[in-house]
Amino acid sequence: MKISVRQICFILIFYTAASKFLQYPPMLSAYSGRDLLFSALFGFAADCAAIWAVAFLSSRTDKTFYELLKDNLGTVAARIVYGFFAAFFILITILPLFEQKQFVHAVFYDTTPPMWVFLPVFLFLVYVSSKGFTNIGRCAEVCMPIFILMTIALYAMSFGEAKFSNLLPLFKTPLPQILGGSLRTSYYFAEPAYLLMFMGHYKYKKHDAAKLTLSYAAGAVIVLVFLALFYGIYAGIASSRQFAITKTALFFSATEMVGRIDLLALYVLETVMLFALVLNIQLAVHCIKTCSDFEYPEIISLCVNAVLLIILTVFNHDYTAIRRFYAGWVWIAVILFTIVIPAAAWLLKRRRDET
Amino acid sequence: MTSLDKNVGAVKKVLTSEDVLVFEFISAGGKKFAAVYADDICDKNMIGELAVKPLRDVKKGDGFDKVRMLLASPEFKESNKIRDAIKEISDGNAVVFVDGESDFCILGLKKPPARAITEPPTQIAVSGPREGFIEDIKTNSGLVRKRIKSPALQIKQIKSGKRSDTNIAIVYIEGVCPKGLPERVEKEIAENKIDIIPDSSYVSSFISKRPRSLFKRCASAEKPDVFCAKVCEGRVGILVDGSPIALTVPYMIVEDFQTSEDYYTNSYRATVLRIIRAISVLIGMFLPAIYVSAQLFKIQLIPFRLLLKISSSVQGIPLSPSIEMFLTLLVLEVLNEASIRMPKYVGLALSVVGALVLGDTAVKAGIISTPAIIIIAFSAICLYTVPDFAETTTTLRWIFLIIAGSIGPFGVVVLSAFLIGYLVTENSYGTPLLAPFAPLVKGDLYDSVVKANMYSLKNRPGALRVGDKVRFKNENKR
Amino acid sequence: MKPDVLRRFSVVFFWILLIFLAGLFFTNDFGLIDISKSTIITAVGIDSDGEEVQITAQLAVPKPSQSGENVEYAEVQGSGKTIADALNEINAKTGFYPKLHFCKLILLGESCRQKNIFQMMGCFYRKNYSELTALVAMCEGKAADMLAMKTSSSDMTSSVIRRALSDELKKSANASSVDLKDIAVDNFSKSGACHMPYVEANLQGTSENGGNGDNVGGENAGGQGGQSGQDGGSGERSGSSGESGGSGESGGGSGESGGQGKNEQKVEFTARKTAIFKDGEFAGILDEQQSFALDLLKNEIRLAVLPCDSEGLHYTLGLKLAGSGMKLKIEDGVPSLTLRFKAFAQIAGIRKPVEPDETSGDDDISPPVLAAAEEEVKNRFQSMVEASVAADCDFLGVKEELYKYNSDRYDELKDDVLKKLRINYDIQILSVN
Repeated sequence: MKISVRQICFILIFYTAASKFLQYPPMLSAYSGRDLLFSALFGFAADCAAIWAVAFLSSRTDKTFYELLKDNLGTVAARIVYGFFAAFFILITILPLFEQKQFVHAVFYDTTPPMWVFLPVFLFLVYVSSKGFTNIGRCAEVCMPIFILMTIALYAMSFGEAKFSNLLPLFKTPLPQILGGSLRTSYYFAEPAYLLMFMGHYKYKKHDAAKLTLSYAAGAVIVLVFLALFYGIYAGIASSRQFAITKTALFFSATEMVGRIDLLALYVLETVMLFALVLNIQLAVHCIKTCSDFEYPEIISLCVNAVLLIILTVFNHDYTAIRRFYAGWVWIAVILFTIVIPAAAWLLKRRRDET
Repeated sequence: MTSLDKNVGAVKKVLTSEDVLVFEFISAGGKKFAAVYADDICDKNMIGELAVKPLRDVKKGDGFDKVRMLLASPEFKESNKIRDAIKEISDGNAVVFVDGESDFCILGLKKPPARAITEPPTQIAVSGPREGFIEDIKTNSGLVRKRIKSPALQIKQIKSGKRSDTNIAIVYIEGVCPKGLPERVEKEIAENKIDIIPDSSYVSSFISKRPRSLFKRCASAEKPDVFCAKVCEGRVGILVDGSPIALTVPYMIVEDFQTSEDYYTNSYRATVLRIIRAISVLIGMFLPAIYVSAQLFKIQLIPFRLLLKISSSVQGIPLSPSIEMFLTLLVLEVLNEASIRMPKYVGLALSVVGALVLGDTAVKAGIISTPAIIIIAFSAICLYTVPDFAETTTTLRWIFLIIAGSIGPFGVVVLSAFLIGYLVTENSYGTPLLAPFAPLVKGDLYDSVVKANMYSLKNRPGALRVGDKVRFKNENKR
Repeated sequence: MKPDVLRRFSVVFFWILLIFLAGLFFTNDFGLIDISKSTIITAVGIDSDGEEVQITAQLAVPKPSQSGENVEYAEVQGSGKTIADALNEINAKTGFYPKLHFCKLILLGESCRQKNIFQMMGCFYRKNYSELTALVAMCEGKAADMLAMKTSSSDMTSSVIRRALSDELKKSANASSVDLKDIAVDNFSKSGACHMPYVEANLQGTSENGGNGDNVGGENAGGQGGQSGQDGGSGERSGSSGESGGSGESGGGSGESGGQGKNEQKVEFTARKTAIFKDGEFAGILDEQQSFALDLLKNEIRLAVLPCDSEGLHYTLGLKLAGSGMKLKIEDGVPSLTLRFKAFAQIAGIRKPVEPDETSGDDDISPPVLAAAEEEVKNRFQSMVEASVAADCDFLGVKEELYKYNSDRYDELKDDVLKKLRINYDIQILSVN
């Protein structure tokens, strides 16, 4: 087996959290205000259910999702679905990639650097996304201690400044607005689709569905705590505080003496964020490789990243417009690929192999 | 021409060198013999003891069986192929030709010049054994045998090097070592045809799947206690004649952070030391890069008071922060290289020139700032807390510095992520380089950054996939 | 498996990349501002001059030295429509790019009272322009003058001012220091009000504001209900000296203080008064007693000094906070605010000759003294609330409390909650032993 359940659990805990540390909190604050936790909860709850569904489906079959599709719908249909999944993974990479660029320019440099400073990331993306599931799993394992240490450090530095009563009153925001907040930020939630891709590549054992779901819930808790911290610190001005994770620990009194140690922690945490980002591209490459039978993932990776690079260059100054587009429309694709298809996968006929 | 002259002539025809000597002697019974050996590497006295004396009583008519019976050497072989004779003589053994016989005797009298067993200079231990390997493979094998008396210990002798015909011993414990691993190692060594193998580092390249990689694929050991411990864990050890450095495979990066002393001292102390080593390596690799990128791209990384001091120091320095750091590091590397190569008495002068002339004067002249020297010096000290890994980390320090000076802190982060992405899929004979962290091998974590006490290390490293997993049983169930 | 062409391409690419990076490394010119091209702004003074903003930046200018820190401090001024304009002018004047990342103090001059402070300081809230950790204070007179004053210590003026706003003073209720984030969070809350310390300069050796707790007590009766309204700069200044005069011990200092006079003599700074703002507009100044009460209520007090009179003696008590806060309830349709303060007290001083036997009983305070202390705290709380009501400035955050805990009644009560407020005091001062 190429990836283990433990490694997937790490992905669900750490990548889930790391991918939501930058723009998710301020955006959610803008849409849902003090009830941002509920907006987030809706998103997490829906995905938790989807993850449980996919994990439980894995207990019924040893086949990959592609094989299931092929058995039920035929090769052509399976290829089309995987092609769409590849497009979906590329789609949900674009905005986080822009966010990363903005984040890097703002936080790694005192004065705005030229755009090319961000481009070395593509060397990393091309190289890592050409690797298979073994690489994905092991990277998650390396990310585990990094994430734990750095997140604990950043949370600890932030806690003293947070006033959690800023989150009160609860449920004062109208429900449609809370749900709207969930939908408009739904492109941060692609985890059920990840699991669908991992299906058949890991050996399912008893209780693994619970483990996977709980792991995702743990990741959700980390995010919810961060949202509470962030809103607890910034309250009414939270929506204007870009790149949330960079803004919470700076009030820690020791930073005056020892400098911005929170920035150093952030730089280390950035490696986890990069791995969380590259996972989408790795899965896009996997989908294209599977549906095209093309045997060189390096070349696929090169092409996918070339597309991303072109998009990044062409829309270099259109971040706000892209964000608006994502908030307005991408939720449809997210719901389709992370909720509807995982649920529909249960309709496929399956047979657990005796192995 | 007698058969004796014919055989000796055939040997001398190939071994034309003047240091290949022929010692002809006649027994009391009138039988002629000739001992052929290479001077300097063969024990001449023993030829008298083991060949001339016993053969005194041979009669002219006695056959080869009688000769064979009288020669009481513990290392005795016979052959009738001149090729074998040439090989053995080159190897330091003596060949005794008998008149009238096509067969000849080979006496294992090899005695190459060797130094005494001393403590290796790079793996000095405060506690624990102080013996180190030397250049003689026989002595080294003996040091291993002395420690592992198990009948399962296998020392497989092979030869490599088209011209040097260097002896290589593959050491492993049958039943513990993963099946097929010694054969794989042997095959990979045999696949490389090279003139000479002057050191084990050549073999290290042969057995690396990616010889161009910055990261090595086999560990080295200069002390027999370390070597034996690794062999007992299920690894394959490689001894190379002429090299005091033994190799072991499979290799995990974490091995470089473990020292023999960790196992001879209190486990808490060992854990603290390992954590310090890990932190030191990180500091050593990243500090110059972070310092440069902080000055060039993100001054917020420097605390305010320190920033004022650094600003004061760098004001008036004619070089940019990155070039200043580059030159300082270059000076360090040059001094390091020169201090190793130079004779000891010049080395002292070099230290004075390096430390005082280059360091102090350069600062006073305002060419290099004091913080740059402090940072480079500290970085150098940090990296040598893990000397086995220093080869890689010193190179990486250069790369990180160049990236930091050109792309900034983000470049450093991307390169780090790239290295992680690269290392996670690399392996040495099937064992991932980053094990036991990626893939996570829970049991092995007790001997990684943490050094648990002996009672917690009951099993051999799981990452090695050894045959016999249990290495320690305690009857009191502690 | 990597195709051969890709393998070869990656090797070539690797070398090209290395050469490119080396080129960048050695040319080292990215159009970025590195350490040698930037000045470190440690404090910013903001004055308003009609439509223009005048910025006084206190700069740390490192001088070449190989033996440690050698820094000179200088003030540079720039002006423009916005702070960014003014900073740009500083850039043009000095040739150095002014970086605000180490700016730890923002001092608003009296002239800023005419403007909305969030319009004045907007640039500090822009994306990543500066951190929101800088302390903010309003000062008497011009901020530029205050930053140019000479202090008794060798440190730069801004450091001395920051010391007057330090956490330690905050914990002893001597300054209600806030940073950029605090005032923004308060102002953009439902209360729409914020406060910041009001810094005054005192001539060295004199103590305009009394200098210690004992004298503060004497001033209490004369405490003003806040200088609400939009007083002009000079009016405020005379107001503050009037308060100082109330202390009765250092009246002379304030009248001559400010501006030029203090520039030549060495001064000390205090921040025992508090400027209050409503929707970003200046709404008045809380006197020392009111500020003290605000500090007791909002900050984590470690050791505050409270003077009180009991049984004909003047006591100075050291207070260690055991709990404080406020709670808003709606009782019979009327908002009821309970101000709670609980502390342990210890005698720090009594105005009478010391008798050795008595000092051992400093931890045992008689009930009348404790009652007097409670009364003193209550009076100060009362004065503070009155100031809030008089200025219609909810710097206590009552509306925010109303929204958080009684959100159902928020719409109904939000407009006149301060006026309808019924105040309860739950003040307990206990002896340490």
